[in-house]
Amino acid sequence: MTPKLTVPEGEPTTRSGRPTAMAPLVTETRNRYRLTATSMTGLDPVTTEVVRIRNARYQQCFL
Amino acid sequence: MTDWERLAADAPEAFGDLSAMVSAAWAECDPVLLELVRLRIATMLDNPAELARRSERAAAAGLDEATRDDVARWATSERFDERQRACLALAEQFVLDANGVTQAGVDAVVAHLGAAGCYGFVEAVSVLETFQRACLTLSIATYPGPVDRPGAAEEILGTVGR
Repeated sequence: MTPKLTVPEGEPTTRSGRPTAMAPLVTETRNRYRLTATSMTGLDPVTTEVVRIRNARYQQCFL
Repeated sequence: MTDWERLAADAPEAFGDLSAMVSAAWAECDPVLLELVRLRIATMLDNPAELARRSERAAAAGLDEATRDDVARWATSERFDERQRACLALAEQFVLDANGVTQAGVDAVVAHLGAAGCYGFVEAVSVLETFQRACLTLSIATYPGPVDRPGAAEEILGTVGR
């Protein structure tokens, strides 16, 4: 998959290539939200993974 | 008590984090652009509660009622400039089918906002879509607001303390 947006030279990124400084507040809050969501125990891990894979397939996201 | 507060009592951290994400989107994106996109998403998702809401931040930045009311006709209405049209086109495609977003669609936004602006815009669209879908799924029509006020995201980040 070729990125449609060119990240400027020297821009800090995550291991997956996601820029971290281009929208710092959203990046920070999104990370917190993801951590909170994944640490919630209301949904068992198997169901969580099935939902994640189903959504990835629906969105054709193969990362 | 609002719908949001009633449900947030069961999962305060998750609701707080989602609220912070929305506030962060408003903090990092042009409020007029974001308000137009918020309204367009609300129409596409059939979300009357969001359609009835007003962003004071966008109004203060110059968004008038006539333009708000014309969002569904953004492609042909003379009230919208090329920058707004490029952003609304990308946002519409994002909501309909993210895989259908074209290089030309992204380039059109980059031409007006730059690479960093485009990235921030896409993140903001993603956050607003997530928020509206969550509210629709959980039947949340009312929440304490406004989440778009300046400083809200920073306040929430500071008080979460994690």
